[in-house]
Amino acid sequence: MPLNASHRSRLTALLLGLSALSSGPLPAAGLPDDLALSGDAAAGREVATDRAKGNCVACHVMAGAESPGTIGPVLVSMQTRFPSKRDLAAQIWDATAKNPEAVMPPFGKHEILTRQEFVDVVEYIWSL
Amino acid sequence: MTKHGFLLATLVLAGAALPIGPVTAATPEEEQAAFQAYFKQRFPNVPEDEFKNGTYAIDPVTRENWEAIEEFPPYENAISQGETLWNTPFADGQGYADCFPDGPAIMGRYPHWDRERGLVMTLPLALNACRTAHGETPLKYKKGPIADLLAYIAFESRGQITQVEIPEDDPRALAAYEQGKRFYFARRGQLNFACGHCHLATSGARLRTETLSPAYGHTTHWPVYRSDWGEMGTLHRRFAGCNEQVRAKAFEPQGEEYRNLEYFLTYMNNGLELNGPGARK
Amino acid sequence: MITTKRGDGYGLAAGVLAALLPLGAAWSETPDRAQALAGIEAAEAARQRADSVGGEWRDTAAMIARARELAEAGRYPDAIELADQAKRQGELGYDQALGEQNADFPAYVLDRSR
Repeated sequence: MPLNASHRSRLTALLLGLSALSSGPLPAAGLPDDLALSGDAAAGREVATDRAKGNCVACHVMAGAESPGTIGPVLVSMQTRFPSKRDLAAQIWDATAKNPEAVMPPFGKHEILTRQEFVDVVEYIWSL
Repeated sequence: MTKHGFLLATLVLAGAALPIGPVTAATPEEEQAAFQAYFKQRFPNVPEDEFKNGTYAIDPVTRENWEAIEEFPPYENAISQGETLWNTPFADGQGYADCFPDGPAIMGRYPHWDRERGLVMTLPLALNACRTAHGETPLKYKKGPIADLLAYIAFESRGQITQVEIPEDDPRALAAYEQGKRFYFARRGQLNFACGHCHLATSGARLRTETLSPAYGHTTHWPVYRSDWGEMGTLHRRFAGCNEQVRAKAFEPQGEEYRNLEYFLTYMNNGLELNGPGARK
Repeated sequence: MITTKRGDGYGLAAGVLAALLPLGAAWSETPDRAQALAGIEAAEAARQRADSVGGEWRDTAAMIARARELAEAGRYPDAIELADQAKRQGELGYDQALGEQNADFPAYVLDRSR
């Protein structure tokens, strides 16, 4: 497939995001134990609503986001629904680890987000 | 039918679909019955003969806009261009009518298992086989003249009923069906979605502002004028687009993967009326 | 431009790898260029392996092509990062395809255990 503008910007984003990645290969499966969950919620909000990135709003109703999808659960009261921020992070990293039938894309495992974007999104969703 | 009656019918259908005892395999007939029962249960208020209209069968808001579009169909031009192509002789003086002596109303015969060639024969493949047999270059499979020809054939075939057969005396046909089925339910791409994820359990839900269409009804109306494309396109063009949306590399249009997928998916839609060409968002 | 801040450890590791791998002429070039080319070759191999089972992802080939351009432009660390990422895509896509080989109707449509 030819490289269109959105791919190009995505590749640029990949390059710019590289400093956030460790140089070694990522573990194939679970959320890395050494991943510090201390992201920036404001930056995470941008990622969560960006079509090419988190795009959480494609499937989830989220406070302040327009035209949300209705596929996943409403993102609200997250701190009462997940015992810890790390549990929430594990869900976003790879939801199929807990439930093999889960539809949600594995944002961490499949590197849909860079590590920085990932921890930022976790921070933002945890704040909802 | 009342909701109660509908549920009852669904139960009866589901009962018919499931083998008795600890049998794990199901025949294609049983799988088709389970597939169709699922959608009838999921959308109990949608009459069976409405599923051919896709999203517009289940979403009254977009349906209104669609009905307005159908007043001056954006595929009309394609039909007339397709008719011209159908009637224009090849360089050898012959034409499509020589390959298809029963005329253009043949959509309902495809896809079918081609015993001689040992593959799933689709209409676009048959059209190009006709062309090459008469010394013409094959047409590209996603859009352009092939979509025009298909639009004309689909229009002439309106009202025919989907009735794909899987001949029991050729195990290769069943194998092709099984491959198409596995393709349909296999997760792929960076986003890790299978076709079935969006078009079974979450059909009718909204992805952002778009209502996800039920798989039951997906094969009736091709080729399609898609507003998103701004032009006509074929079923395999749509397959490729879906694969790329989940960030998987698309397969070749009319390659074995998509032909087997078409075989499975059209078989699931058996009984639905053909109503192509169509208009979709 | 991102420079070779990655540290000498990486270069050393590549050097050790270089000694172990029978890549011949490639290693007469500067280590960084050789490392980039080796990374790109590894990514391409992973992509082809994924493709062989129908598991290639959409952007992998474009990422490898971009990594080649970066390497041509002498931007080796960038090329290596992108190639490594493409390689992981190839590996993930391959594993995904193998894991989905027996994909079937979901149980809520057709329960095989009944």
